[in-house]
Amino acid sequence: MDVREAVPGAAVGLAAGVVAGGLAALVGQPFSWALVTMCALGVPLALLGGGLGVLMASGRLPRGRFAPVALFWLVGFPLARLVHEISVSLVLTGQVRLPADLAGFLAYQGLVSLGWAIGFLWLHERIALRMRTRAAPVAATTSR
Amino acid sequence: MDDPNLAARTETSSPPEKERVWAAGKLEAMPIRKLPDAPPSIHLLGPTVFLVALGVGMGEAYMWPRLVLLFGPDIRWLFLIGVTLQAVVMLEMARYAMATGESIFFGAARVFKPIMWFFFVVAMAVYIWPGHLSAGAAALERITGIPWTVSAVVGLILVGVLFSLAKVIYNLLENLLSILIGVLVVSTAVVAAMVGTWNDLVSTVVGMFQFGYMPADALSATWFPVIVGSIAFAGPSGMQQMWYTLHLRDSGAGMGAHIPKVRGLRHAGQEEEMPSRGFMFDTSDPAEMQKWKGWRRWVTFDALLLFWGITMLVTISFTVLAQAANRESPNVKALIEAGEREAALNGMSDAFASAGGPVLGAVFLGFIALIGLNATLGLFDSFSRGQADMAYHFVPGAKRFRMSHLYAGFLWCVITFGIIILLWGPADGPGAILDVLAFLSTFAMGAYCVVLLLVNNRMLPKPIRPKLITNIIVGLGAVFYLGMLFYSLIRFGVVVD
Repeated sequence: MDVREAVPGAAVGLAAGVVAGGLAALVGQPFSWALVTMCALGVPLALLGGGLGVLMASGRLPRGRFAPVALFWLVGFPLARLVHEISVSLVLTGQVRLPADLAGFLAYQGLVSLGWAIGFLWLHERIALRMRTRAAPVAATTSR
Repeated sequence: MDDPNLAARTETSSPPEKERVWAAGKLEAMPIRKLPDAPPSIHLLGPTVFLVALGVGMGEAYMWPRLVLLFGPDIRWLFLIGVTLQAVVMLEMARYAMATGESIFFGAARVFKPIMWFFFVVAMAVYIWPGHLSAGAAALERITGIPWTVSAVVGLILVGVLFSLAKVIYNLLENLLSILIGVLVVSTAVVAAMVGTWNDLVSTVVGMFQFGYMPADALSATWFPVIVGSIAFAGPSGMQQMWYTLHLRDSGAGMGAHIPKVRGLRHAGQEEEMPSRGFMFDTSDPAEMQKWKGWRRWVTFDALLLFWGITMLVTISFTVLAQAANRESPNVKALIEAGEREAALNGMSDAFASAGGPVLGAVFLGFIALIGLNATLGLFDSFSRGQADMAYHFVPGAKRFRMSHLYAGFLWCVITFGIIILLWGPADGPGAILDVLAFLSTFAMGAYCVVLLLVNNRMLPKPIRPKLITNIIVGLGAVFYLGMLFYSLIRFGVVVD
């Protein structure tokens, strides 16, 4: 298993957390709130994104197709959002609070995940392609 | 190698012993060359990024959420029709560009040269005004405090310098826009996930299928022109679809692989000689037709998932945000109803802030600024590309210059004019001709549907012409755009708003 294959997906996931947390900090929210948002959303998305990259690289999921990615995130994105909600409530209030309407919450996040999947795949392909292009000459030099 | 198509051109562009050609119209016939293999997957995420950058703009972020707040989510069936129609138009634009390596402007000239000159003049009249910069720059001013004229002028100069220094302009811009669009899509999804609710989303999506819904107010002199304008702005508006054919060509899609890329001014000397016409592949060869099907699959994926999907995602997300804001601050509706665009955008930002904290207000303005940046980058490149293409091929004596020189000429002209107007003139154009410009922009959309029908059915070999159903949809597009435009003009005496 090549861990480098996890980098593009993890980077996109982490970037999403940074966007959420960074904007919170930019407009004057408490630093702790911004940090919790960044980590609680960014880390699960990064782990799942990295895992998806590894699955594609190992051939368990076909590369360059949208449907498998969309299905993966249909499950993964609501989970990441659930982790985010629970973590934020735990850190800020000290209590574990589930969203009021859990089924509705998960269903909504599942639908939004389609949009996230498009954006994820778009950026993932960009970063992965760039990494492969850069790695190719290095590999060629090493083999010589 | 900065141009991956160079090998394809040098290997296959040399004429075979006995030249076979495809005669289309009265212009120079197209020599037959090999069609390159289609990409195996989505790895060539290319030219659609330009269409998304241009298309996902004020229509998606502002005009449609505004209509939903005013008339309810059921009005969105018109958006669904508008964007779906644009996806079909995109596929048909791609048909001609990928089959020939020529732009749709060249195709129009093959049918009847004055049609092409009409588009040349419309582009000069409509797109030379820098008004499209104002919304994004004003949003940036609200976030950072930098006066909008300063950021707009600095932005204009930066765009000019960036495009002039680039080795291959397409590559630079595709990379840049890909990142910006990717960030926009990912961020939009994250924000929508954090703020919206199941009910908002369901009502927004269900509203797209309420075909025929039209409240009485919508048919008034005040709002019908706004609705026509919003339909025209659902996805790419004006001539943006036509410019997509130039980006397809420069990305090396289909027979575009046989055409050299446009370079930045600094590297213009390295540009290969531009052929005086496009090329055609052998449509009687089953192997070539198999490759053609691969290219059509590739562009269909682009049209449906990337273009249609992203446009839908952004507009659904913004509508969900607008509904969330309206729920929290009911006065947002009155603000938006009464305000001009900037006032309404600020009103929406304030409403978002009151609904989801200052984060959401700033996020909204950040998105508007990002959308403005994307549109500016895309528009300046596209305008210069289109005008340079038409001038190079059809202005007598223009072939003394390289395509890159003409591109740079148009680019710096529009930038210089833009700076002058931003500092001393009306950014959207003189008040007296605003209606004419709005009319021309929407009229061009109906006109290019007619051009597509003529070009694809008369200038392409039979095996690769569009099917009847496609022709019907594009024909309905022409009726849709022109019908709405003239109905608004005759019934209410107003063009579009």
